[in-house]
Amino acid sequence: MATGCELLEEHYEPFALGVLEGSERAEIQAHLDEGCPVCVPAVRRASELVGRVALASPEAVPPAALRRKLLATIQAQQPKRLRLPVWSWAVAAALAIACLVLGAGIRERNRELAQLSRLNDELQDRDATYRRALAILSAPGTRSVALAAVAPASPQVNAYWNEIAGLVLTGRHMPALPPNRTYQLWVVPKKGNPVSAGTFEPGAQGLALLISRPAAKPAEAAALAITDEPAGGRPQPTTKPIWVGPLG
Amino acid sequence: MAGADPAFHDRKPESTASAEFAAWDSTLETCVRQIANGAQQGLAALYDRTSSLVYSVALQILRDPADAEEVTLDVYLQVWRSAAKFDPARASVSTWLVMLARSRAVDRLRSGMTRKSRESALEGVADPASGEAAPDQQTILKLEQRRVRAAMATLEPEQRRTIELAFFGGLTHSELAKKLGQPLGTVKTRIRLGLMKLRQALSGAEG
Repeated sequence: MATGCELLEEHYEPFALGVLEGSERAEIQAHLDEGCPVCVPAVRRASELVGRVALASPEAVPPAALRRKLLATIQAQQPKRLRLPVWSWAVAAALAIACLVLGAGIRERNRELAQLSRLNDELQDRDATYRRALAILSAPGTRSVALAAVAPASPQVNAYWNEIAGLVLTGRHMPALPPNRTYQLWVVPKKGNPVSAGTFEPGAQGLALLISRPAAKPAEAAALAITDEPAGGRPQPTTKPIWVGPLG
Repeated sequence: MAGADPAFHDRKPESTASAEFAAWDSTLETCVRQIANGAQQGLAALYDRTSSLVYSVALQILRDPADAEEVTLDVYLQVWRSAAKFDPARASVSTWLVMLARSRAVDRLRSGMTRKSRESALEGVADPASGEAAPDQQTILKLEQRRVRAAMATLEPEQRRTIELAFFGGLTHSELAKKLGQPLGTVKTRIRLGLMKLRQALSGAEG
């Protein structure tokens, strides 16, 4: 990039608002696509500001039928069982036998292709997640916070927090929760109520990874804490913390 | 970025969302993760919490309930298809949704696909019990809307009009200058100063 990020600063909000044109817009877009650790979070903040303008629109509620239409549309996209007339079963049986003979190889290959496609999607998602985590861990000014378990014999959880790039939380051997519960990470400010930094559920072997952008800044925080909350999380903690990590 | 001034890194503006709204917004990420895993209840939960926001934006841009309904439907179908690609480093869920709604509504406006006189295909289908956010969800959203309106009211009238035209009209700098009959530089300044003032008002009006 020929231009320094400082020179792009005044364009963050206009870019997010969509008022830039031609080369101005293309230049910033290309720079963001490179994953600039300064401009990507800055444009995110600009987008959050611009998105606030939407809240100034007069309140309106869509008709209740729209919800049903949405869910029906989704349902219709799911694989369905065909309803065939009775006589068709004889034809279907003959076709099925033919397909069993001729199509076994094709089905097997399609199944393998579908599995590979799903695996590829999963790996791409994981790759993107790990890249984001790495960007936070390697960003200048990232500080680590060790969250100690309140109960003995529970594993320690670690967080890495960068004011600009965001927060990564990692845990191993974290106890699994019932399906209707979730862990929720909180930023406990020096003044005021805790602020949610996201929810997460440990995966296999209790591995947990949460990437978040807390609304609070590290300098304003007294501690990070994790509670066990109902699925979906809560605006404020409803249980006592299980892990707590003070910010020195 | 290499070579960037350290002071530049430190110059992070205050959050423009209230703590309650930010917490509410972060709970939406759980819905998006459920949707990414193919769970329809995740989509239903996200819709219940955010559809009034998405619909309001679409209606403000298109001024037609039937068009706004179609855009709202499009937005959630897009979310259903692409939830796995949602990147919280790029935007919060609420911002992602309103920007999707805005983009689709403006596209529709520009392509002349609006149907101003068409009656809503869904009119008359009464079911007030479903499709509405839970009271506490509505309260958080309403409080945030009130806070944003108060912040917008602190802007100079021409700053506010220019920003609203840009957002709800989907106009670029030069299109705004032409529509408002103002020099390009004036339009750019109004937007820049207006957004700066809006950020200050929202950062200072926490809670």
